[in-house]
Amino acid sequence: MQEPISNQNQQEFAIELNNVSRLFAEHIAVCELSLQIPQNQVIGLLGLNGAGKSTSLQMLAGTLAPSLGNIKILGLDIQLQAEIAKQDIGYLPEVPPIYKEQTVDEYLNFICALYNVEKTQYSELIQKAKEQCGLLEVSSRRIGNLSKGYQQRIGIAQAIVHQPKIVILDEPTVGLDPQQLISMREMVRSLAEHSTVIFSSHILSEVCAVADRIVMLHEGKLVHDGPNENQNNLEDLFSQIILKGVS
Amino acid sequence: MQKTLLVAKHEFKYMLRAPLAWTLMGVVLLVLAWAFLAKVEDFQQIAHELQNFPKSPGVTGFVITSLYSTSSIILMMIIPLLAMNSFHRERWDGKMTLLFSAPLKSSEIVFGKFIGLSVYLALMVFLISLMPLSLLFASPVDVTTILLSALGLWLLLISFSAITLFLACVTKEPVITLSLSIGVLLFLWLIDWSSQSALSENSLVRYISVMKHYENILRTKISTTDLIYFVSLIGLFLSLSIHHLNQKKENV
Repeated sequence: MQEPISNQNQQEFAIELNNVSRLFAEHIAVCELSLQIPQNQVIGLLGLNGAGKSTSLQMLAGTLAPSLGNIKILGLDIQLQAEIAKQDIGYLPEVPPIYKEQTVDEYLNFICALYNVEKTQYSELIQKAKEQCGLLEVSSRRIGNLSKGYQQRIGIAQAIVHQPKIVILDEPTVGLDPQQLISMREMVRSLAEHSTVIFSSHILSEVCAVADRIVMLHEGKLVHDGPNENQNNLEDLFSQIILKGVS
Repeated sequence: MQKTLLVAKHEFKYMLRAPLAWTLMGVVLLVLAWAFLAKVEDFQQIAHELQNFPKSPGVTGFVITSLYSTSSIILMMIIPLLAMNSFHRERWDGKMTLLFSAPLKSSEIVFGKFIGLSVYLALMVFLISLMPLSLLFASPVDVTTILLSALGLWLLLISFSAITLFLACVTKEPVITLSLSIGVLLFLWLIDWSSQSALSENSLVRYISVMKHYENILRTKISTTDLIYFVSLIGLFLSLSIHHLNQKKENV
């Protein structure tokens, strides 16, 4: 059982998960996960499909309640103070939540309104998000007419346009070409200047390329949590997990 | 309230951009225009005979009441499609996650969607009402009856949409939502039938019957009981939807 964290420590962490578990009927998707993530850190959440990455991120984003334990975002309980806590979160789920009938600008305007951004700041923030995600040339295009890579980038833009303190990206590199992949890494690094970034992937090299700290999940349990160093050890551990799954 | 209106505005604008809303509106208006013209023609044929009766229904009773009755039956089948589309479309596209992860209350999502849908239905009722209003050019028509009938139809439709929104919340499969919605709405219709037979003495059955209250409004016998009934029905199903969305995060 984890010791209670003092108020002083609570302010130091951007995200805190205290013995968080999530059950789906009899199946345990996430089991007693505890993490303390300081501000402005990039966390890579690594694991095979079904490891519990998306479930963990959904709970962090407040779209799914933990069955046990609690989650604090900047010291606020994500369940009890949801509206205030969510104000500081930007979330890209597995499927980008885009409105295909809207143009990129219309969509990002709607997101700004949802997150209570001052109207006077809309154009500046939208411009910045479009620059960061490489969307300037498609501003007035209908989202439905754009490629999957662009739609993924629009999904990322909606997660960062309101300049949240916490950015949660679930498999953000899906659908991106190698060039876009490099831009994405640069973007994640630049986001960490002002935000805490937590992103998931099942590709070790992807996580190692960007993260400050790597958290590895397997069958809902935390199997590794440490700084992004000694990649050989990480590779061995991840290979063991993969081979275990195959056998 | 600001967020509710934001969701409502977004929902309404999104509906107008989707082909389903326009297709349904076009089909409904076409069918109703046909029924309306047929009824006007019938009226023209018997108009001379009706003059002999002191309490004859006139064009208002013969054409207009009939139009709004037919509208309620046709739209009863259409509402589940619209409300179902409102929730399931977003669930499929993952857009529901956008609303759930945003700083919004479940009540703001549900009320926003409901208001968006209600505005669309108001537009539909307005366009339907242009048909009886066009009779003003040819014959004296009771405008109060038209306005009350339009209000009654709109209340009936938004009550149906509140019920269907709730069913769309609690079910994952659109086909199940559609079947359940049609079933529930038909049940409310059948209650009305039974209230004309042996159960007609049962005041509870009479009160539950949605059509009974609608018919009161069509006959311009609107009372606060009818209004309270519709508001309660809407309030009940919207509250259940909000409650379910709050629970959903716990029990998915």
